Amino acid sequence: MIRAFFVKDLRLVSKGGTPLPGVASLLMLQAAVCIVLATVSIFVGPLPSEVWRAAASLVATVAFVLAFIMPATQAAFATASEGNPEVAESLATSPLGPTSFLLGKAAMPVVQGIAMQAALLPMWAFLTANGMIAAADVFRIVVAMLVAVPMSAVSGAARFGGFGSSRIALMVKAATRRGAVSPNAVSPAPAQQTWVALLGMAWMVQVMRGAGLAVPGLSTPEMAALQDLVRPLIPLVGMERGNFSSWFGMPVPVVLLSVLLLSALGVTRLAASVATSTRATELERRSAWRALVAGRSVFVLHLAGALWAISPAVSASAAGCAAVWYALVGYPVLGSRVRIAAAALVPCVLPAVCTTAAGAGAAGLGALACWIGIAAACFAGAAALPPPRIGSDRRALAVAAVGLAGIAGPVLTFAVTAPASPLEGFAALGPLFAVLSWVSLPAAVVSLASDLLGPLYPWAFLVRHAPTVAAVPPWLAAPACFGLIALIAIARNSLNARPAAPPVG
Amino acid sequence: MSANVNAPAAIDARGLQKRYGTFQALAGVNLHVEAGEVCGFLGPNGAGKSTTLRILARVETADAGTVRIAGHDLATDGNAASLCFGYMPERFAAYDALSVEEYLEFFLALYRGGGPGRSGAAARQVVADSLDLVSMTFKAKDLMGALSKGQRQRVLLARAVLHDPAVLLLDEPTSGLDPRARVEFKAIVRELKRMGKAVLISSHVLPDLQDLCDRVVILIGGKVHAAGRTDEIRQRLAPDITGITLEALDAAAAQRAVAVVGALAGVSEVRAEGAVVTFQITGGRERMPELHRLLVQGNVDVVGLEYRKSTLDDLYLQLTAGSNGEEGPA
Repeated sequence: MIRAFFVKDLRLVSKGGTPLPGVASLLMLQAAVCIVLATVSIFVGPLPSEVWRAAASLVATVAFVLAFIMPATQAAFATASEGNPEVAESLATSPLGPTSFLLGKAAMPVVQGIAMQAALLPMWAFLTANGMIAAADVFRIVVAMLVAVPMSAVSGAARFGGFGSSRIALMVKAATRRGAVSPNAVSPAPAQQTWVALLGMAWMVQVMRGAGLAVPGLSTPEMAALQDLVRPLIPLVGMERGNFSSWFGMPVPVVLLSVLLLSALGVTRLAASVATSTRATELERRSAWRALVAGRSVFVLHLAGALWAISPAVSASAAGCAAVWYALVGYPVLGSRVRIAAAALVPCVLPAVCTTAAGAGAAGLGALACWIGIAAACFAGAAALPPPRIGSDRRALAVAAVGLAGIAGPVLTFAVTAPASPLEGFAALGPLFAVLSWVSLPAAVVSLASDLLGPLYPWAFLVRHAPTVAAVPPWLAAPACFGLIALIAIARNSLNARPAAPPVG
Repeated sequence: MSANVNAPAAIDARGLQKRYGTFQALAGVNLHVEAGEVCGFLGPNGAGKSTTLRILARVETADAGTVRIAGHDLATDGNAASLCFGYMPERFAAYDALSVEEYLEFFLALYRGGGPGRSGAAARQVVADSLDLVSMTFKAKDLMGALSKGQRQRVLLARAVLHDPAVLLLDEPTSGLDPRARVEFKAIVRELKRMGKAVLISSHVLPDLQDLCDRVVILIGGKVHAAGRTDEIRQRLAPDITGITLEALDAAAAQRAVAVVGALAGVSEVRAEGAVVTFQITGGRERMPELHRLLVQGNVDVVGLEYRKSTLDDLYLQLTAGSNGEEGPA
């Protein structure tokens, strides 16, 4: 079926113009740039080294844009043709599953994206031959981009929120009642804006570097660790730092992390869409939740590994918050609270093992204890909230409210306002922050990491100004609170745990 | 054609319910169609015919109820069920830039998956056979966007039979077709019936259904009002209705005829167009002498008088007399 969509889309794009749009233009543009650079070098003199460095960064940025944004956009537009209600109606009657549909719609943009990356090879060769960038750097960037292309294409195709009969029914209903498809059916999702924002940030770094300006904080260990965190996804960040990242204190090739994380990102996007599709078969649903669990485990592990260089406490608190967040978001493909809670434990396993090993000794045991606590919080939180239902956003809103109110509010407020200390005179707010923290699982994670692995600045500041937080620590209060709710809910046989699949279709 | 007693029913839908907001489109619809049977699906606009067909075709989901197509439960075995039916929707849009051949090859590949005949010569032969069945071979290379409505309808039918399904779900297949196309379409359906396919047709063109259908199901207000063999239904629901066409000498005579006929007991659906008056009367041939006598007494100059057995049209009009015919959401 993937081939069927590829052949069909190839026929359509061939009839609409060229199957590989932009490749010829890109090749001609590179030729023109090379001619200009050569002409200037011959007749004016050697170009400053900053220009060459900026050229490498510029090409990396172009490769990033072409890999991350173009396939997603092309896949989204290509999928829009299937958003036509009558076409969707025809497809809905066929034995087409969400996985085949999404991969089928991503196939053509993948080919186009890879062709664009291939079209950049002459420029990479030119820069490498002139010694402006190391071959290893080019290899790292090109490999990362080649993995990013299918991830981006799948994300674009999955922007429709899942190929499901309910979605199709929605579009059909819209067409029936209003005579046209809702424009929301094909409008870009916020994910598109996220990529643009990331690109903007990356671009600013390039501009500052090209202009010879120092990027604030780049030399600090914290910023280096943050760079290691994002380098696998945005290879043009920290290009001067070589091809290895610090991961649990060990040097690990960035290219390996890129392949791992980008693959996990693509698989997770595909799995999330398949999992929420009412058309998915039981086998597809099971595969989807396994892929979701695996993908989320990889992200939590990477957070823990990359931030380990700052401190074990920061590593555990950041990765633990991510694990708790995933636990609260849940897995829509799983039915009962207990199954969802058990799945929420999985992302804690690898970080627990790795941090215990990396801690080597007392610190390792502390990290293990911390991750056991985080796992308990994940289990309690996942079991306490009603299981997610397909097509419902209410649970996500509740999760966001709990997370923001409990952790982001107090901690961020204190952290941001600490230098100016405007809250110094508001000690009376301490109990309020304490209450918010007690019912927040992310706060529980941070306080646990702080108690077991070392002080965390914003949290320490909060504790100093809100003594009640220290008296009854959130790592005890929040899991106990959620655990009690979970026990009651499980004892009541999980009334909301019925699968959301419709009776027919 | 008698169905194998051991074979599962071609369509077995039970207790289908569907609600759009406050509108109850289906309220417990049961539907049973055997293999090799052509079943007509009748009802006024908004009765729930298209909703039922879309649920059977997996386009929509029911709020409650079960559907089995050729023994496959749609809820648990939807993809296997999809291989057993072909659906021809009422509305139509396609990839206009594809040729008819390419369009059908795409859908064939979707149905065949990784199986044999997905591509190459075998696939082209299947597509050619389907186009031949609907007499559209001469348009195989034309773009989908360049086809007329009738030609598109045929391509849709070709697509529905492409994977050789046991069941065909046809939603208003003859709407908008010219008389010749309708006759040809009926011939195709007869051929499908001869091939042993079960066909469920929703249509407003009642004479077409009367000729084609072994059984009819009448849906009103989201509920099955009547279901059974066409003749049985007609006899059961309208055993003695006779349709009368009276040709008067002129329009004035026709108006006198309307007054006379309107005063008769058991008369309904009285319509006058120029000098021609049509109406239905219960009681059959036995009422004719009374009618003749009253027309003479009423000084109606009659040029001709024809009476005929009740048709599906008459039955439909009788059953839907109380419905307002408003268009529902589906």
